[in-house]
Amino acid sequence: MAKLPLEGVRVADLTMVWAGPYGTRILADMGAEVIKIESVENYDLIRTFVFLPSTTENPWNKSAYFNHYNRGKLGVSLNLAKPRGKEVFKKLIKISDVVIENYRADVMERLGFTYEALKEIKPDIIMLSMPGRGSTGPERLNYAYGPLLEANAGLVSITGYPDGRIERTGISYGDPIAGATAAGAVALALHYRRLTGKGQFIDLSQMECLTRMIGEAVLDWSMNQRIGGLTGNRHPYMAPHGCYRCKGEDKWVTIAVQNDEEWESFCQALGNPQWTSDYRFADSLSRWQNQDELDQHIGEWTILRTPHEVMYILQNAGIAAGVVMDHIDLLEDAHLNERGFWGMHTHPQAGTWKIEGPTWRLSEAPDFHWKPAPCFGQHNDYLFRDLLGLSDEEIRQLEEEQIIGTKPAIPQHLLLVDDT
Amino acid sequence: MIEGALSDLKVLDLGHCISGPYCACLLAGYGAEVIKVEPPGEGDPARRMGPFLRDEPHPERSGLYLYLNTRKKSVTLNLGTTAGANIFKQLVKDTDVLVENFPPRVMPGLGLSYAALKEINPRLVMVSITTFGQTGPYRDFKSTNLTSFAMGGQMMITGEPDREPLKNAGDQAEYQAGLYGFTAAAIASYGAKITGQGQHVDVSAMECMSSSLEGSLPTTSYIGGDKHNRHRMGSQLTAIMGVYPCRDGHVIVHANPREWPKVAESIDRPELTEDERFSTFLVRHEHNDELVATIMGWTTEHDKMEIYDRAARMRTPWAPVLNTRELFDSPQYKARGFFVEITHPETGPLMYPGAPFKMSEAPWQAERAPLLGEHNEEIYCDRLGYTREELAQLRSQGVI
Repeated sequence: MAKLPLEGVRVADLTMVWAGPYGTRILADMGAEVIKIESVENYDLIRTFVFLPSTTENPWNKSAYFNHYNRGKLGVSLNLAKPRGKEVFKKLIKISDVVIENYRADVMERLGFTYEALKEIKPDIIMLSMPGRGSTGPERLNYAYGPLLEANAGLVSITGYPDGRIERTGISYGDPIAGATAAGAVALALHYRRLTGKGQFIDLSQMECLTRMIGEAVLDWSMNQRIGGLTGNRHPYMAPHGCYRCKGEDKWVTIAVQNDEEWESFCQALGNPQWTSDYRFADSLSRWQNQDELDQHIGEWTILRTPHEVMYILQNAGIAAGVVMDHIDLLEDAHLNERGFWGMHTHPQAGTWKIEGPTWRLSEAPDFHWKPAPCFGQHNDYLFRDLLGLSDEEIRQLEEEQIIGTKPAIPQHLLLVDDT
Repeated sequence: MIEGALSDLKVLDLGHCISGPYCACLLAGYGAEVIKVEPPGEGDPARRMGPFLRDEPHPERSGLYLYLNTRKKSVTLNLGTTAGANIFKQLVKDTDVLVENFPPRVMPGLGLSYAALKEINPRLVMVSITTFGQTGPYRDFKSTNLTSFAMGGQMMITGEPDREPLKNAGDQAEYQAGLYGFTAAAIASYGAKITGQGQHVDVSAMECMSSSLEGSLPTTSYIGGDKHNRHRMGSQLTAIMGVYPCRDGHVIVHANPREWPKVAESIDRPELTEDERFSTFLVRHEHNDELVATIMGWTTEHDKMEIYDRAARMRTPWAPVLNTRELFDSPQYKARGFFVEITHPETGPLMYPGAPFKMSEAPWQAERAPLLGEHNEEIYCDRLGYTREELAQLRSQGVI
């Protein structure tokens, strides 16, 4: 049977919310044994995003947000703040390859688990810390929500409508960028360890990952002392290039015509309406200069059609056109479903529903072996008894002291439920 | 001494424009030897794309190309010729990772499919980065960054709810594809080093982006569409999660409902938490415009770094909207030495973003991008054994 690339790698995963777990999900999909560590007092906040009625049993195991991003991982409950919890954690470190965390930059220090301390326990340990602004620097302890970082990193300043309305990305954009990068960083450290036998500390700043995503804008400042403006959906030199309203409520399609040849095909696909022979649209430069009129004409054509109709008509003519997909469009999309990207998967308590597969495909390991996200403390026995060899008596004591548990102490008012 | 984490990794970069090259440049920065294979004549189309130094178009002075191709070697090669394809196959023999972002039909059309290359080198990890993947009904669809961003789902929820959805900064769909390509390459090549087993890795930008729609797509899938179809947030759909003008630019606040008291405190109006218009999540929603006006009344009286420093002291969730110039004044970026200076014969010294993460044992290596075909002799003569006369012939034949 085909091996996955990270089989045999054990990850002690302290990450929570989205950025870190997004990265460790990739590691789990690629075969690593990812042991997600929460505690009764310090559970993953995402477990509270439930949106089911408040009468639901074990709601913390039924958060779709949690269950999507934590699939494939084992889940244990261990309180690292208590001395006995720390002792158990040290035992886990001894048999782990990687420790990864995205706490605020001073937390691991306060817990006594800096890289130096972990290195004492396991000399070749790989530790990755991913607080929003990095582990060092005067701003390392500042609030680090994704949108804040996106602003700090320069992206928000060049996101917005041409009339001056500045926007941020509609998701907490820094999170998946940092998470995807973190998974790559872990692999790099594994490469290095393979070559040298040494582990290391990786300091990953979401903010820095984000600024790297607009490198040419930074170069434009460096080269020309020019700051980018707000260009909306327009392009520096392509036209038509924009987002056009379609038939239906809040339905849109994007179109990008890349050269003269495509412009000819585009006009033909529209049935060569009179307006396309206007001299103002005759060449690429004049099309760009007369975009407002161009967009108006195109909008009058798209408004009569659904986004999918426009996409198929134009793609058949060799033009880049893409539906602005909403969640339902994506879940029902013909292409994604045929590729098997969405699958019906079962979680022992939450049920069966459509969840995405791995983020990329491996030809030699094509079968996705689904494993659900862990219920809270679900794999306590596996970790404490099987892996760490704790006795029944030791485990019972830890349970009594609430150092390990099976139920997170979530105050009722913090659960995001829906009683309508 | 081992220089970088990937110091024994050999990469062939067939990437063009953004996604493939970005993947390969991250591998290069962490020590891999990356040989960039460019078409003879014009090279990577990115060389034709701005921003240009002093706005003078020049193939060695494109800021986009210079940024995306740091620390790579450049050879020119026409894969469409028999000789070119054969030279390529010779290079593949000794390659760990091949990065390409052509439409799916191209490599097989050149006789260079994974199946063919696997015969030459079973350890090869071929990372194919596209918008839609190697298979499926959209496989041959054309795309640009805009249409790819739209298809991935992040565009529908970006922008104001009452107008068109918005593309975000620059070319994020392309950069995301490249980033995921990097992670896939790093992981798959690790597996290949351990087991000797290569892979064809199929990276689809649409799937990467569809996987990263935060909590809303998962909840929609689980609970149902009607209940949870998310709208564009816009600048002020929620007063405590918005971009606000301030005296010298813009700032952003981002607080979840439980943190509303912090926001009230941060604008010196703690009593607003008792105000019947703002005391609960529901009434704040009803009186959103008023709260926006109240907050804006405060922000417009203060400067962005003042607001940010205050927020750091008071521990409230504000951040400045910095432009590219201001990034260089950022105390955090200065302290971390994030920007690095790289000198290039055609541009002199310029400042570049540095490492995406800091590895304590194997730091990022910032070196300049190559000139077109700069390493033809090194690779073809020194490494593959062609003579300089043969090189000249290949050049005249349009092979290199």
